[in-house]
Amino acid sequence: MFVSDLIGDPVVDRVQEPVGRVKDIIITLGETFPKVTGLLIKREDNKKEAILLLAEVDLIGPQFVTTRSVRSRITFTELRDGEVLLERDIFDKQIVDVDGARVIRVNDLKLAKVEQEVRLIAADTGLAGLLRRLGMLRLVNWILKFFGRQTPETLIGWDHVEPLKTDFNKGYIAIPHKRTAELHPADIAHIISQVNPDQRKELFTSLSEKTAAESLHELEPMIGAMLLQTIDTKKALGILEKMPVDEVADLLGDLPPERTEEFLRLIRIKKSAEIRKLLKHHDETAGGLMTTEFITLPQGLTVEETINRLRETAPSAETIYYLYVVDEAERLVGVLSLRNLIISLPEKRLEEVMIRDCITVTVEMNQRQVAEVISKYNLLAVPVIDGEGRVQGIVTVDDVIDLMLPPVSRRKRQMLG
Amino acid sequence: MMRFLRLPKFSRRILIFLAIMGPGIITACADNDAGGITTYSVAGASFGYEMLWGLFLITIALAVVQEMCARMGAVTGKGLSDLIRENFGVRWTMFAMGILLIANLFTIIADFAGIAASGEIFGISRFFFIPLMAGVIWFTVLRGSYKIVERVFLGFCLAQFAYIFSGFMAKPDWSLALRHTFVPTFRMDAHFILIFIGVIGTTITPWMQFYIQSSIRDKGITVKQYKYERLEVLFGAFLTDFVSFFIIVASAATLFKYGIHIETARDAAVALGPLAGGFAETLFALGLFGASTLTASIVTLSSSYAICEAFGWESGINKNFREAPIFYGLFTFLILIGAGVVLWPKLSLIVVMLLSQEVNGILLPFILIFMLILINNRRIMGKEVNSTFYNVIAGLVVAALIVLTLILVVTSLFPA
Repeated sequence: MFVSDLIGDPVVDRVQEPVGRVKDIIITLGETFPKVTGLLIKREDNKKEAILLLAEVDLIGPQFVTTRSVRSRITFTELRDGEVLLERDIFDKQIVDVDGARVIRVNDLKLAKVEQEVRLIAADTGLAGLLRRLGMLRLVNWILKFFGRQTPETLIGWDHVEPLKTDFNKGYIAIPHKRTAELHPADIAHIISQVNPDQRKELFTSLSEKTAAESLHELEPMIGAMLLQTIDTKKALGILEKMPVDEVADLLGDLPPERTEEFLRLIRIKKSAEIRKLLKHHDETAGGLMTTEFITLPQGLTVEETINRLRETAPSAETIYYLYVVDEAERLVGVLSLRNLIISLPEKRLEEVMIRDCITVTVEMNQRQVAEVISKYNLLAVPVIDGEGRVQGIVTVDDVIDLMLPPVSRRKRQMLG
Repeated sequence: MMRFLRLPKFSRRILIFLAIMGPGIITACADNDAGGITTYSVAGASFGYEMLWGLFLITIALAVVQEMCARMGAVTGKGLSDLIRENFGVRWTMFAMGILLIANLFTIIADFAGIAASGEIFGISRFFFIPLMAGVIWFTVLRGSYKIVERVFLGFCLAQFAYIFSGFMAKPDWSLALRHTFVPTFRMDAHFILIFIGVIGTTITPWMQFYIQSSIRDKGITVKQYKYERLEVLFGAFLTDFVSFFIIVASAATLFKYGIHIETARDAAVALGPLAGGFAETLFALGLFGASTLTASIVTLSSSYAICEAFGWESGINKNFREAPIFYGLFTFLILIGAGVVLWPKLSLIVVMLLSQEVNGILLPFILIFMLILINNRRIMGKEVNSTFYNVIAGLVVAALIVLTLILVVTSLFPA
């Protein structure tokens, strides 16, 4: 039974005397399949709206509703604030379909008798629901029958639907297969950018710090910065702690200076010092793109010592595929890939196995040139050096991938993010 | 990446203002599209300065109506078609979207007529030019970079500002023009009323209300940043009608003075004569071409978005045809019809452009009534509901249009 069939139904008492017409349906939220508790009806006798509790109802069907007692003995109740009405509050509202990462609408709602109760079991988001609301479903189905077809039903079980509570915008989120936390961060970012600011905040706050951190990177910078300012500072800090320094720097760069300063004071001192360093560089240069989490090794080490050292320190560096070898003055003298390291004899010294003429970029180099360098030499990362040849950071391929893609796919990626 | 939030407060303010200014200027230019230029030219050519008072009042109404949309967008974070669907249900949404579709279809036809007319001034046959431009619009909006398109055609639109200079150089009778701006004149004949409805309908268009609200939502402007937006809306309304005012004045001081009736676009170009002399037609054609192409692109795209959003169908130029068939279908349909109608050989382009604005004017009250109900609902707008002043102004527009349409029907049925 669909809600649109029920609305407008005549309500009669046990001796077929008219009581009124169904205007809306009242449910209580809380259970997976919410229970229908009453009908809002327009009374026949005084033309006022009143609630007919479900306890008073005998039969409920798409043609008519009957009551248990006679008209004069029915007790009505008044509509209170905070009651959830199916037509008023759920019909036509948005559902963010996490599965297809798109926004759809509740065209109709399906009710069913489960044991002795009537419950809300599914949302109809398809064409059939739309036509049923317009009273055209039968006609269309009758026409389609000649072609051996039927209007397709698109139902989303209410157990997959979660309400998003916000002040003005009621919205729902449907999660057909997975929980939000199991989605890829890029998908979550896409969903976040599809919904309105209120729902955005709600959805974002519901994520774990780790997932939030990952999706934040995938979001468009302005949206990310806005989100970071709307959620509470403690949660924001937790999320920032889980992000690599270069991403944090990018994000803070888009905040107003007062807020940036506030966050920097609260973040761990070591991390915030690195972020401050990164913030100094212009956004579109190698310095603005680079991360300061990378691995340098003194040239005197042997291969075996190096492997042990990597294992012990279990570095949190963004990339360990390249190891940078430096002299006493921290100047870059060579580079070593993880592959080089593993296939070399354990007792060899690093200066014997490393590649001496490394490809580098300068701190001031424009991001497009950096992208060209990375793409030309097929690198996973490139070291950024200052005037004295010291390594300041590295730019990894994923930091510049957007600049290497052709315009159309780049636009696609940005819209997704 | 935008680093402007790090700038000092003052320059940050200016930048925010400019960033927000975008849609205002675009809508201001797009407002004086093919239908707009034609309607104002005909108003000036047929009745001299007599309609200037109407334009003055319409400017106030335009500012009020657009501010309402912008406010709804900022408060709810939703588009107008979203709000209509969520608060009026499926049937009323069908109705509102039907109205919007008809009004927009007429606007698109008028804009293709404008493209055809500008092509004809350059001696390009419409049977070549229209299919070409239909293809260009389809391809650039869906597959190319819309931003670049927007800028190029906006550049063409600057030609419209020539009307301001031409208006001065035509040496109009300023005392008469000013008197007509503040003292109403009205004629009870069908032609006058029809043009008057056209002037309202071309200045306050149904599509623009949807477009403004969506662009506010897409930019994520919140109630806090809203004060900049209000400035922009007021400025946009002023700018739109500033140009419109001079189109009427320039036409009145040239066409009306010499008793020229506008039958083709070439005639309307005479109004630019005092400024451009022999180049008047070229200048006119450039402005007409830019504004028509820009508006045709915006209106097709925004109608497809609005309708798909209302019914929960997938939309967006980042989706492919298989993912969003209705969105693409609608977009293609609008362009095919718009371009197809104009290819009808015996069609008078000027008549099409005028008629479309009159249809827009007749349909506008329906959309305004939806807006008025929404914006006065506390459940939706909280404390940002309309003030009495706003309700009175918007209500007057609705009433005026309905009364004018009724008078129009009566005077056409029983000519005096």
